[in-house]
Amino acid sequence: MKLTLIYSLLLIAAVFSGCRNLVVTEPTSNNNLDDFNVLWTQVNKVYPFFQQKHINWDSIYTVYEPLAQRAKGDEGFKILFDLLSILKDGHVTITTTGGQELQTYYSPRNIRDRLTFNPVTVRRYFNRELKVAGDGKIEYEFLPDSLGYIKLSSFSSGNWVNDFDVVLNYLRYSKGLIIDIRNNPGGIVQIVEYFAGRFISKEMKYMPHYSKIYSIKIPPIEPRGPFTYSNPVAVIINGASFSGAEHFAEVMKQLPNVTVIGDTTGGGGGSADYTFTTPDGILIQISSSDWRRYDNVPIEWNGISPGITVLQTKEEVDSGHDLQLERAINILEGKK
Amino acid sequence: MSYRIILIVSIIISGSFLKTFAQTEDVFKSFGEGLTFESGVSLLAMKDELISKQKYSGSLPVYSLSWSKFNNVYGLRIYMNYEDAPGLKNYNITSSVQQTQIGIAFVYPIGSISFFSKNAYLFLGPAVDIFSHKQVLNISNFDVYNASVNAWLYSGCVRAEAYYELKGNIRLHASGQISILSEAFKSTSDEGTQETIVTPLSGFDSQIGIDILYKITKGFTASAGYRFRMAEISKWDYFVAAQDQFTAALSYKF
Repeated sequence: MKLTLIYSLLLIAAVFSGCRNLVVTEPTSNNNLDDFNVLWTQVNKVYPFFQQKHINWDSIYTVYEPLAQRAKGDEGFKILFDLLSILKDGHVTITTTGGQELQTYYSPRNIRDRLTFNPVTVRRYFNRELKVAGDGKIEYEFLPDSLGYIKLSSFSSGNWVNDFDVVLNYLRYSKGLIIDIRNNPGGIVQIVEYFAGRFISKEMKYMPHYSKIYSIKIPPIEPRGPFTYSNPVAVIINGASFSGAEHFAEVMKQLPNVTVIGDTTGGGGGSADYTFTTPDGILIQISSSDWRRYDNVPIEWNGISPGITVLQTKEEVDSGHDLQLERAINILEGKK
Repeated sequence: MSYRIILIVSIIISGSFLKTFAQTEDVFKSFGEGLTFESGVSLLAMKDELISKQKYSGSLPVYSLSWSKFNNVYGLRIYMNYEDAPGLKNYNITSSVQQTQIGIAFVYPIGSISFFSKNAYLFLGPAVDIFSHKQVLNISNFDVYNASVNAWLYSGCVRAEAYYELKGNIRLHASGQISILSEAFKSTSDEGTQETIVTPLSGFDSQIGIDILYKITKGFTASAGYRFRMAEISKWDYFVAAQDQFTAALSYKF
């Protein structure tokens, strides 16, 4: 009897050993080829950098289409990801069906420099705690010797930008101002214009813009606010300053009282301005815009170079030395 | 949903066959005590729709350490499981999963059921369970581009156990545990951490298992068993992880 019971239990265990597959089932649809075709077609229609990046999009179709035909399950998602990675564009993202947005590319400068800025090290140069405004996106305070410092973490839209005027008013009588946009991932043109408008006294043309599908006229930057900050300004940039942050650096670079210091920006000359969804519900974001510097060189891949190049490593920053900030302070204090 | 109802109804029906018993020596002897190290293989299938609607499956080693003790009133179990699956697959795409479970249970003797002319001693009580799950979908060779999610489930549970003596030194041990109320957290790189309360209608963390225990010496007991574990959350992007585990264990009673 007991042996029968043991055998019965073993049988039950064997039968139930496939329980997981009853509970977790395979999805039924497979739209991998349709997804591929939609992606290829949309990118082909709007993407502006094929020529600059020497990408032959037609030949890519012939390589990837057979792979998409054979793909099963998430192999299809990987093909879409790989296809978008070829563009080497920091504005291109793919979003999983559950809503997780994945970057398909970070520029080497971006990856290298994201660790060469350390807010803890920056605080060593102040004799009081930095003030915070704009929902945490702005940090500011006086450095010793009456220099002002503003760290801008974003150029995204929102009511937070209104705090910039309050901050600038606080630092109005500083003898020089540092605007730190290192590790700033960017935002939108309107906010770049909103901030830049506080540093110009007359209307200023915005950078050139090209698109295969849009014909938009970018309005000029208008002077804004109760006063124009006209004392010397140092803008600090690095390889993780991207997109809208690069626009801001390029605009500010044109002003006579502004020195751009640090390392070349990430090279994000597109925009997050064109999205579409594949038949399987995968959201893709690509760029349809080609923003140029004032000298008409594409920002894409080239970035904005500083007027004064100061390189720094993670090790230097972690040991308490922010060479880029030190140089900005020295410039504003009239030292070499 | 249907299997949840079946589980709850089964528990209620089983309860109606109980007869209460005095806390005899048999009860104390039946409860498995000591420090137990368990190891085995787990066949895992899972789907986390935050990352993908596809099913990922594969085998992974499972390790467990537990401590059990029966005092005059209740049995105490403290347990910890760890699983690491670097290569769950969906066709040629891999996903890495790490799961940890730690918990404490207090089970009280509640009665016995006569079975083949012998008693099966039953225990029931509350448990607290913490389940953590980390998944990385390996779309790229570089981590920075991969989808990933961390999830935690802090649960108040009900645990039931039964011991049945087959022969002098061989016993059967069956156990089941299901969460009643959980607090769930998930964290992703682009959305930060989200939190929600999970009831059995919107998710649970559960396990049922059966082991054969063989008393080798006065102190040592060896065992082999099968366990089905399942965690599910439908309150947000659907998550389900189910696994069939086959384990061997060695216990030492101090």
